[in-house]
Parts: sequence; C-alpha cells; structure tokens
Amino acid sequence: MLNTRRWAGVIGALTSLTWAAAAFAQPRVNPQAAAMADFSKRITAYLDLQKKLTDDLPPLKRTDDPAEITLREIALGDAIRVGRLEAHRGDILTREMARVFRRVIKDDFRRRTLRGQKVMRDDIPHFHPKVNQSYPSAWPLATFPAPLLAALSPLPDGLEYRLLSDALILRDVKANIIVDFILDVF
Amino acid sequence: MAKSSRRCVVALAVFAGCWLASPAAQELTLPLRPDSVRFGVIGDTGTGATPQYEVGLQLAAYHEKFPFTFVIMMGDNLYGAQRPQDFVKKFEAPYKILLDAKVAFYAALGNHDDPNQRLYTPFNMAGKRYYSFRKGDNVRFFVLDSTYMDPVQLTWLEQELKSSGSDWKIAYFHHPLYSSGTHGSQTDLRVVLEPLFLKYGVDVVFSGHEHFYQRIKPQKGINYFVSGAGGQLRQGDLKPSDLTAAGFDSDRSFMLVEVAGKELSFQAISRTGRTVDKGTIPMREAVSSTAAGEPPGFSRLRASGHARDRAGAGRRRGQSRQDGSSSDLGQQQ
Repeated sequence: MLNTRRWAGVIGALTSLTWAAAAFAQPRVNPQAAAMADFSKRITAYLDLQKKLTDDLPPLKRTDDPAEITLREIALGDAIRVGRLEAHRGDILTREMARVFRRVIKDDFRRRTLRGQKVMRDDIPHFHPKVNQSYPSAWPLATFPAPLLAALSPLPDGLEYRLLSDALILRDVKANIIVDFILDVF
Repeated sequence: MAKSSRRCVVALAVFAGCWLASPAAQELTLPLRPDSVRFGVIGDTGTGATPQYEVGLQLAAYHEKFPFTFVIMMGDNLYGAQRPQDFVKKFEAPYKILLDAKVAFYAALGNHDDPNQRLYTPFNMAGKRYYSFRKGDNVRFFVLDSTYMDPVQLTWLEQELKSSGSDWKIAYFHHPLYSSGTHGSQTDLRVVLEPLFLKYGVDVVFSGHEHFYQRIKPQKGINYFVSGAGGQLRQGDLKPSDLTAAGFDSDRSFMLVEVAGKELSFQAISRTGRTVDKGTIPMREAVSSTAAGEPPGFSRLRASGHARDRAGAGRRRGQSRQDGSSSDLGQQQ
C-alpha cells in the first residue's frame, strides 16, 4: 500500500512537471502588445490607402484663398469615403484595442476630481459619430487632456484622437473625417 | 466664392462696422519707445457679429496712435462654419483696416478651429499647428496648439525653448493654465507646460478660451493674461479668486503690448476704447526646474495695473501692484 502511494506521488509530480514544461515551451503573448501591434499595422494600412487615393488631388498647400483649403479638404474627404465604402466601426480600433483604450480612459477619468471631470467634459460634443462622417464644424474639437494623450498609442502626423460625450474618435485631420470610433469610453 | 463677391462682403461689413462703432476716446499709456516690439492681442474673436467688428475698429483706431506691426490671436478664430465666406466675415472684414495696413496676424488654434486653418496664409502659421517666431532683436513667441498637446509637440517646445537663448520668451495658446472663469484653470495642461516654462524662463503667457480679460497674479514668477473677449463675451463670468490681479468682464476687450529692452508694458482696452488695465513687467531670468521655492525673477516683478483687484486679496510679495480702480470690475459681482 505504501509503495503504491509512493508511485502515485512520483507519477503526479512527473505529470505536473510535464505540464509546466509544456507551458514554458509555448511562446508567451502579451495580448495588449499584440493588439497595439495590430493597431499600428491598421493605421499604416489606412495611411497607405489615403496616400494612394489622394495622389491624384492637388497638393494641400498654404494659400490666402480659403476656398482652396475648403475644396481640398472636401475632395480629400470624398476620395477617402469612396475608397473606404465598406469601412465599419472596429476596422482600425478593433475590439481588443477598444478594450485597452476604454480601460485607459476610464481609469484616467476616475482618478480626476469632480471639478477635473467637469473641466474634461466641458466642451465635449454630443453627437453620435459614424465612420466616414465629416466632423461637423458646428461642434468644437474637444481639447484632449495631455496626460491621457500621452497614455494612448501615439499616432502618425495627420491622424488624431478626439473625445465626444461617450466616444473616442480617430480623426483624419487633413480630410476632416471620422475614420473609426469606440463607444462607452467614460 | 468669387473674388468680386468677397470684396462686396468685405466692403459691406466694414461699412456696417464703421457705422456701429462708437467714436474712440483712446488713452494711450504705453511708452512708445524707439525700436520697441509692439503688438496687439485678441482672442476668441471669430463670431462675425457686430461686437467683433467694433473691437476690430477700436484696434485699428489705436493702431494710429500706437503703430504695432502684428497681432497675436489666442484661438477660436472662426466659430461655427468655416466656409470660405466665413473667413471673410469672421476675419478679413473685421480687421480689414489693419490687414490693408500690412499688420500681420499670428494665430493659435482654439477648440472651435479647424486645424486646416494652419494653411491659411493670413494666419501666418507656416502650415503648422504649433510654431515659433521672433520679432525685433530679442523677443521670441511660442505658439502652441493647446487642444492637442501630444508628446511630439512637447518635445518640439522644449527644443525651441532651449535654443531661444536669452530672448524674451512669450508663449501663447488657447487654454489658460490659470483662470477664474467658468472653464477654470486647465490643470492637465499646466502639469505638462509649466515645468518647461519655468525651466527655460518663459516670461509671459497669453491665453483665451474664457470670454473676458484677466490678469493673473504672477505664478512662480510667470505673468499670465487671459484675453478671450475679442468677439465673444461671457458677462459676469470672472469670479473673484486669489488668482486675479485684475479683470474686466462687462464688455469685449483686447490688449496692446510693447516690449522694449528688459521691460514689457501692457494695456487692456475695452470695445469702447477705455483702458481697463495697464502695467509694466520686467524680464524674468531663466530658472532651473530643479530649484525649489521662488524663482529668482519672482521677487522683482512689478506690474502696475489700474484695474481693481477683484479677488480683494491684499498685496503679496512679488505680485502685481494695483494702483487704480475700474468700476467695471465691481459691476458684475
């Protein structure tokens, strides 16, 4: 009986060791890092598409004629809309990335005093965003809190994050287009 | 919009503005020293409504006596729609006299501005959301986009400040780091900007966003002004606070500034041409961010404003001295 117990103990220990070894052998994946790498790839793909679509447009240059600026912005926006007809929410700000960003924003918001929360949400617009929508000029571009901005993944020139009443949007600055968005961020 | 139509809109707007503006009873208190750097300060202007035109005319009238060469804009240059005709109605027409006189405007972006305004050459933004420029022998301006203060912009600012030597360093942007209005002090911004301002010796900071005029008591040796009533106005919004050195919230306003040698003189003026605050600030020496307590420039600051201390706080060492009074400050309480 004693021998049997010993053997059972040895077999149990060996099994545990085998499982542990198997677990170590598998590559360790940080899900947040993977989501960020994927986000970065999607951003690059968007900018590649934007460049391709806008190659035919006149260059965006400094001018004293505001009509030139407006028309270029509209033309760029239209070209992107056509090029991304099938675009949906989550194409760039994927579900995994949305989880990461929601956590960062909610944590930042909870850490603020009531006064701080009020200041943060002071000028935040209250419209429901849509992918490929032009950012309405009637609404201000809510100021993005600097510490929060530093906590999010950096964006290349020409793209920016902005906050709405309950959303984080990804905005194409040159085309004034909402590229993607995440809801329920506060 | 066709050029002829634009001209027509401009002409009509200026005519309307001239008709509506009251005759100026300007008192100029600035020293008008030879070779000084002179400029105007306006903020939150772009409404396209009559008061903006009246401020524009008042600014132009003062330009006759105080020939400044440029105006700095605190943002919210265009409210609402930003169509081509809006650039005319909300900027070109109200300041036509100054633009015709070759006065340059240097704009910062506010939360109501499309960042593509950076491409509009009359705003002199060099195609950038944030930029710097130098005037005279020793005055450097740092124009920031406070709506989107990302790490890239902060790195740029530090490099610019570091390389600016012993010049007067004047920063301006839309959101005030210190304010006693509805929006209040922008502490998120302060956390990232103030250490750089202290480290590299920024002397003066101008902002807008709050729709009134406020001179803040020097904070860690830096003088802060809020000038956000060039078009918009939030009457009675300036709440008494320990921050307030002077203020004016019963009408639109703008500022005139003169930098000569080691002194900066300022004058805040109402839409009707009345002086509501004035004073002189000496240049501040650069201080190390590691230095604790009062920076060296703190104790020798002397601003001689003529507006009453709305907060009612007594004088403190190193803070602005108020010699006069302004009835406007009391009216809104």
